[in-house]
Amino acid sequence: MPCLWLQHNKSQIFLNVGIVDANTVVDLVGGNRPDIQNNMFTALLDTGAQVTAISKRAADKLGLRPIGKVPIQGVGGLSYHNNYLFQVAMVIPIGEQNAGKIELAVHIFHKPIEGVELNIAGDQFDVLLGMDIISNCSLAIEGNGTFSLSF
Amino acid sequence: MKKNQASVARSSGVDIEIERNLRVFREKLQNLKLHHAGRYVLMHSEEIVGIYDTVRDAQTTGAAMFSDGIFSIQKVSSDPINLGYFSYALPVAAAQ
Repeated sequence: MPCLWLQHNKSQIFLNVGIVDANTVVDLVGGNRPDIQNNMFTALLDTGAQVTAISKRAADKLGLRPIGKVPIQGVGGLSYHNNYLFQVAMVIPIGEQNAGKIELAVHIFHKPIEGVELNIAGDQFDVLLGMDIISNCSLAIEGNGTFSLSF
Repeated sequence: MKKNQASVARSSGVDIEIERNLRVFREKLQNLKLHHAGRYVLMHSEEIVGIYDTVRDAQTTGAAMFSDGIFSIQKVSSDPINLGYFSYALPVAAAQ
């Protein structure tokens, strides 16, 4: 089972994830691999979020096309936000450092995510990684400032 | 028309299509929930084109039927999504 072992800051958990247009992943069958390096974004891991959300700037950078709108419960009641169809990828170091390079593997979660567009203030992160992804993983948060995410 | 102008025009067209289709979808939602709760509605020009079990099926069919990409997909549900902290956090500008 692939596993990421990273550090948290004792108040929030950030990690880098790849976001891939669900249509691109379908093309993998034809050998058209997405360029994950250009699709990486900082994500905040949030067990309080039912679904994964993405900033508009990230959606625009990837050229994602909204598929519809979904109702979000908020302070002022319901509001409808764009949603997108994409897949989430994790990049895992798998090999020894060789000539300054670490061998990496890409794990793409099979099920497409119906991700919500969220107005994320600031530039600390672009993806809110919600329970639609986390519930497919094993998450262990350690008191020594590390966490592991297996999937 | 330059490529980026074409992309902006297409994006605007999708946004308008989504808004119009959403209005019609919300009018029909209560009836749709009777027999299609949890399924996905493919819409084009304010009409329901098909109803599918998965969002992937709806998206694939929409892309095949409408090569300009002007269509939208709505899940047959009225349950709002809860984003936890972010559902209840006011943007800084709104709080001032």
